[in-house]
Amino acid sequence: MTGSERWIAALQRGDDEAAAPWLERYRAFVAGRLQRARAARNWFWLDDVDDAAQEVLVRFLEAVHDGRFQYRDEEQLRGFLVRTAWFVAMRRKDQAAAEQPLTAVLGDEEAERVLEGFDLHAFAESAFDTWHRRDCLRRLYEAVERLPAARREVIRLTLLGLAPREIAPRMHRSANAVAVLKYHALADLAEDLERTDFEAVCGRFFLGDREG
Amino acid sequence: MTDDERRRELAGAEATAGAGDTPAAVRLRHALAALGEFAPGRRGVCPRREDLLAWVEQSLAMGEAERVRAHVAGCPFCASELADFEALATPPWLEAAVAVGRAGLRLLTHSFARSGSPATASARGPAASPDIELRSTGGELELRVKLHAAAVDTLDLRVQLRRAGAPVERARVNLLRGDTLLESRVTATGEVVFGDVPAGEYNLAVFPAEGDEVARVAVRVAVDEDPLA
Repeated sequence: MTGSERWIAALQRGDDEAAAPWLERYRAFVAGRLQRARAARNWFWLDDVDDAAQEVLVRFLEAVHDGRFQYRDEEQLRGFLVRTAWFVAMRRKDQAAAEQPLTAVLGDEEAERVLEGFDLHAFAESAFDTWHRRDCLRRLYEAVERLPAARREVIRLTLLGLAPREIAPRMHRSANAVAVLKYHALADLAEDLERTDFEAVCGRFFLGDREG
Repeated sequence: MTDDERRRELAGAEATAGAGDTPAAVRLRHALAALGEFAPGRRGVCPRREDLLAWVEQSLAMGEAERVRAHVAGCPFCASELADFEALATPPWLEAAVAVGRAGLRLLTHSFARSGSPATASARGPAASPDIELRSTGGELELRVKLHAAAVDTLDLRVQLRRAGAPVERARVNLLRGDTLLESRVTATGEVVFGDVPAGEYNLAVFPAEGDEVARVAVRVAVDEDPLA
């Protein structure tokens, strides 16, 4: 029996004490990987690496206790921890994205690439889901593409999570001017969506503030 | 309607205020809701993360794999998440954990790049010895990290760089804790020494005289509570 087989067997028996020194070792492994990825990928939103590593270990322990993890070899154990760390990190990224511009959770370079090059049409074509959602996405993006250039740009950047004051310097206009542009763009868009029956087909994707 | 009124209307729609909204604000809100629902970063029309991983690990059926591939090509957000995974999954060139104690040093774990050029590595150091040597070669470049127990709770870290057998001069070696630079040294006769390094987690980053980082070594030093265990 290798060392890891022994301590994981101890965990399965519920002998957490025997496994503790080993868990510390793998906690250091997880924290080290998170630390490195955080530096390499500018994960400013991962402010507490130790807390994230702890969550990874808790999930690992649950998997061992539930029998969802059976030890095969060291590489498989590390692979499991790395995957779990990714899910934990991405969930934290989601939380950050709910509170910040989407582009802010990407690295600077990556955000710049997305802002410059995000292609509504290509994205709609690659949408991955049931045909219904994909169809609605395509209808929405087509309506956006029918807008005049400046209004379309405001909506494109809004889709990427930017607020008017963040859009302003990119379009060389004042924040107030962008807000007015956005008002017109949204009004145009609403009219287009009504005319093309978007609501009838995709109404359930509106955040239900319509009566009923 | 003045621009000021338009801005107020938009602010009202964005704040999703309750009753008493003008019909115009309600329309704005619907358009915003539709945009929010289909904002790319919300991943509402993206593959599940499990599927992204399965694709990376090549365990998806062919048709599925093709769908994920086509999506990732057009979706910067999924591409970004995959890059995040890469960053986590890629081991440092050399990653080692040692314990230092009264009996000397013990090598706890070590791992090396699974593929790519720096493939060979060796680690020496039986149960406990005063020295451990880690070696890794990539192309013509050879990196040795020699660890020597300086005291019961510190060690000396000697980093040696050779290219085609000759010592590499004026290469910079940084000792970091996490992202924080602790010490930076330049090789003389192909090596640098960091003395009396206490227990902790370190990264060694190696740069040639010109150019980008060529190696990153993660070293974890623990104090061996019971060296005879």
